[in-house]
Amino acid sequence: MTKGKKVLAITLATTMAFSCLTACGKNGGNSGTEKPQATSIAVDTELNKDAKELGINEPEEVENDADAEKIELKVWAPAEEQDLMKNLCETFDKSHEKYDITFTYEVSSEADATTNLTADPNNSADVFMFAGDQLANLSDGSLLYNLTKLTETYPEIKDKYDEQAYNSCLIDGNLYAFPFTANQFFMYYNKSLLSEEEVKSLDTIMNKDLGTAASGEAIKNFGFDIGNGWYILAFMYGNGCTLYGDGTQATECNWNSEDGIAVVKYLNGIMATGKLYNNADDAGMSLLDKGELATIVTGSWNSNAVKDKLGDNYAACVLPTFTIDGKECHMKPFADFKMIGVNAFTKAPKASAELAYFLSDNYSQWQRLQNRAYAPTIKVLQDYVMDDTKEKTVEIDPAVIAATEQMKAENSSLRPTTPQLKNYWSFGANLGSLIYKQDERITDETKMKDALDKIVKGITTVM
Amino acid sequence: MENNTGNGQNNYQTTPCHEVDYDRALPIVLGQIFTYGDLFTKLSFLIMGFSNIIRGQIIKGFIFLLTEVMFFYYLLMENGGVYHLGRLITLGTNPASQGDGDFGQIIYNDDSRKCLLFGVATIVIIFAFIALWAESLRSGYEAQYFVAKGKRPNSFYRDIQIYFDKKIYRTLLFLPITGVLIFTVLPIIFMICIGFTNYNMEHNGYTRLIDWIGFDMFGKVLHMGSDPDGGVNKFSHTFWTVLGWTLIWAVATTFLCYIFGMILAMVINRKGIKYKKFWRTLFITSVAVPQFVSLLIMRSFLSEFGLLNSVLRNIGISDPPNWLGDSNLAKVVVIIVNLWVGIPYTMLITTGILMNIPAELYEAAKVDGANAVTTFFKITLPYMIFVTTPYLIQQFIGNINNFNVIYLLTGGGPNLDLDKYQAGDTDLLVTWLYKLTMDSKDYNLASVIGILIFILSATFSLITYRSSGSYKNEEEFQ
Repeated sequence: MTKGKKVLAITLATTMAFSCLTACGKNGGNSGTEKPQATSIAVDTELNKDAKELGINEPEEVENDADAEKIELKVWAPAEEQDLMKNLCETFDKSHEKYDITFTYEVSSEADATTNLTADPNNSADVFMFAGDQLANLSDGSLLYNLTKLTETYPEIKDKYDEQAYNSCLIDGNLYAFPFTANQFFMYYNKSLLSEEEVKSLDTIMNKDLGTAASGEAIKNFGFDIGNGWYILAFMYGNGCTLYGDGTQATECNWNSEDGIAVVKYLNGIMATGKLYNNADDAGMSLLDKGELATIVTGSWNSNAVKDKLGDNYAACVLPTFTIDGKECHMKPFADFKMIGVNAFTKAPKASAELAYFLSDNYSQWQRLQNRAYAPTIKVLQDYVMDDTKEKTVEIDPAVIAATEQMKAENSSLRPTTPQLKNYWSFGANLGSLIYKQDERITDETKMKDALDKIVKGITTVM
Repeated sequence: MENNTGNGQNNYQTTPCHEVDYDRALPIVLGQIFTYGDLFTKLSFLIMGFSNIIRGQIIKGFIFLLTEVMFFYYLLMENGGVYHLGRLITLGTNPASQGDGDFGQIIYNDDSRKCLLFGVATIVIIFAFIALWAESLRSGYEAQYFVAKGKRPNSFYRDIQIYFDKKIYRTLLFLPITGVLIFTVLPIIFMICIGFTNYNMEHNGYTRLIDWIGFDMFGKVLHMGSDPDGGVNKFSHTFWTVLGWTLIWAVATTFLCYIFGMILAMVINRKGIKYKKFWRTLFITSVAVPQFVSLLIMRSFLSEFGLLNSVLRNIGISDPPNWLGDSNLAKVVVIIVNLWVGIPYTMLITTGILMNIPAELYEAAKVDGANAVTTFFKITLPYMIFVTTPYLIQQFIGNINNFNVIYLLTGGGPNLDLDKYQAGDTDLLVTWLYKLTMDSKDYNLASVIGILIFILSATFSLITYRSSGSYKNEEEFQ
């Protein structure tokens, strides 16, 4: 080979070799963690007088004991939470003389918690935030530490939290995580189109003739993602139909009962008015600022966007009630919360459990309410939020009030804890799509029961 | 051969001085080495490098011997090769257990995924060692051959020189091949193995161990007909339906894109058209926009209350169809949108080829009195197909796996078939695989689907390529 060709060949081969090593970059021990983005929101941790009135005080700083345990804890939180998390963890360390903790913070969004933990359970976070819909999966995979022991050390835990929030974290009566904010949907509405009284009932909303908007388009009354299993179950649960019995029976489902059929007929009626707008992929958001959509069913993750679109007409409320056969039913979505859990494989269980408790306790929840507008799950704070008689120093977003009210037991349902739940989603979507399309399999009274039977069979078949 | 004792040459037993045909398959080569090798070479089968050491290639021989020692040490050491092979068969015996003590946390024990990974890695190492062993035998016989011919075998320094000169391709390719082996081949083998286990969300490998289930999942997916207890077998129903649609989709898109691309190229190429370059640039601009962006825009454009339907409503059609929400309509619309995405590429390729067709052919045809249609079918089309057959096959296989268009446009399509498992009406095999991995975490089912997609693609490629004109008569075109 000539020298020139040799040099070229060496260069090409080296490039090829290095391109194989690109996979190396992702293997560095902690999969799924990204560089912290610069979007962490700065926090102001000064407690104002309202907090002091509620009895919330900044924990006292104490000197570490001579024999303080040296512990290393890894904490996972989403990118926007990093600053607040660091602040709270440091406060925890400073106020405990028995622990001398070194924290490692990593970015992991709540939705990715399961994926990131299952990759390498032994070397993952000790304390992490996760979306409550993963509770059953995580506990099934033995990734959540049983916190019931902690409730014996601190018996006030049981009564401190809102009942529905606390129950959502129980599996077979054992506590597996702490809820720290709501993560479910409620309803935003345009104040200029509907009044506070009118949005209480779905029938009133649908019956009101809103005319046409300034753009010439007819105004739709109710924006609802009907083709999505998560949303449509709010109607079913509202009329007493449940999935998997009390949530643990993988082969039970009564959606094809008389009650279920009644709900389907009711929804067919809603579709017949032509005033429902399918909010799939948040498509309804673009209609809000043009005044073409009166209400939209979505959650607190969208509140900034909705606030921008509606401007002065921004308002939020609990999901409306609907009437079946004269009976008034509340729409009951799953009571979903964002939770803080402890990794069952942790090497420092006691410290991790206490840290998790602290991160969802009064002080931390107040900080989140003040800085991040997160609806609280502690009763005292909930009462504070819902109380509209007093002047408040912290501005409370209407969405926070709506979320707080929606998570109560009469307005929500407990998420089933059986792993079979993963089978439900495509069938819930099926049901919603059939109703939305007014497919004859679901509008024809003779075929309705068959379609529901098939759906129930799909939901309950254990693969 | 005689013993040549007097000329400073070595005194060995008479060895037949045979050439070994190194281009034959490995077992045959080894067989020949065994037959033609003398005692020392035969001993090299057990003690690597022995023949090299005896013939004077001391360093090289010792390197081979050292490798053999290291390999057997790896196999027999405490958590070494044999241990991993055993765990590969059992995939772990000890799931996570409850720790004791006051705040009893869970102890991490066996992880089936690691067992599988290390087991497969050990097998790869064993194969790599066998390759090295064969190489050592070859070099040992080569040394014997040199000596028998009366020459001195290469010294170590000389060998290194050769590896940087004549055999530099080996040196340079060593690193890339190792990289490919570790980061591509090993993971692929690992993923294929998953298809034969019951790894899914429930059996995650450390809480509940994974087991080998063999061809069970394949049976469930490929099963034809209904379940013994009545009703439809969801896995197989979904698979065959989705497979049918995938094939229809691939054929339709490849064929239509090709024909329309060709027609467009021909139209632009005609004598009468001015500003050819402008027209070509115009039609290429649709690929300048990233597919991701244009497909998402198309999705909102075609949605029930999207732009298209608003316009239709404004001009008076009160009930415009739901383009992406109706099963059959969605299938047609998706194919049409893919035309918009795919025609520029075929147009480019066919333009280049069209320009290459010798003009004499057309003139001769005109002289013979052929009209445009005949010219097209007798001259243009055969020539095009001959040249672009490999391209067409590649497009067909690519369209079988066309994830972007389907997933971004319909997300798998309207979910109106109640008998499908995790699949919609416009789902291809590959988008179904994605849903199985990300949503329901049925990893073993996803792996089975992946293997079946590969078998499908490979079979199609081989059959069509071998029977195509391009393969049969590479040189000529008539």
